[in-house]
Amino acid sequence: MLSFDLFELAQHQNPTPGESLEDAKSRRVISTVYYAVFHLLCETLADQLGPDVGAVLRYRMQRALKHADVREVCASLANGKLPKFLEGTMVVVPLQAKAFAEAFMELQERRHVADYDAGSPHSAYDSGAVLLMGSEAFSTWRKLRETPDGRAIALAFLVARQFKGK
Amino acid sequence: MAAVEKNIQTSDEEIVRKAVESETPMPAIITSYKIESTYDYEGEPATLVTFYVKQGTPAGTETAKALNELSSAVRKKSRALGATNFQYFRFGKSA
Repeated sequence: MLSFDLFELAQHQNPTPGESLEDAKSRRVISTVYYAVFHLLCETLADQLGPDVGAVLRYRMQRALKHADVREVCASLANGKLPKFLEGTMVVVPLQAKAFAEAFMELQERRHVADYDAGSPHSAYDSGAVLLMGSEAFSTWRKLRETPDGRAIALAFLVARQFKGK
Repeated sequence: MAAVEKNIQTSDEEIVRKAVESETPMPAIITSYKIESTYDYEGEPATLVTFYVKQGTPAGTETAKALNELSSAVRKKSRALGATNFQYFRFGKSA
């Protein structure tokens, strides 16, 4: 699975403080951890929606998930609020979903800073903290996706945008 | 409008400052911190907290755990005190 390979790569690349190219390595680790988590969500959706469709369609389905859409759903869940698409389908935002949503939002923001903000030096502490956060997000999502609420949230990542205001 | 926006941001920044200050004792590896009002990548107001880590601290799992627990505690406290902006955290090296 690409998600696991990316995460393992990030673990191997994490620099130590003071190491040569620490800033660049730290940035790459942060970006890779974020993409590992994002691909985990993509893989979940492909597993849910098309387990038997074959590799080509599976990869195409994985391309359907949009970063901004996941973030929007996560912003709602992190605030303890169900997005419109999920209203009435669960009583409250599950604690694991809230924890995952908070981690996802932070990972995405950290990825943006790491990839686009050249004036912001990065340290091995930055990437070390992101690696641990990513590891916890992996673990949380893998438990969550085994539950009906988790599967509903995965669908929300894909389609919640279509239900805004309806 | 700009003044109102600024006031909202300042207010959140002050709330987050209180949340950070309430974290006593702070982990021994932290030497200082900086709190800034900023915008996230989506253009929404956000608060960035940078903690500076003592020279020579190893960047292993224990350090990462301490840093993430500190961030998580500050985020929870900030929300409880009424902060509404997105908060995120960075970890720099002490000069």
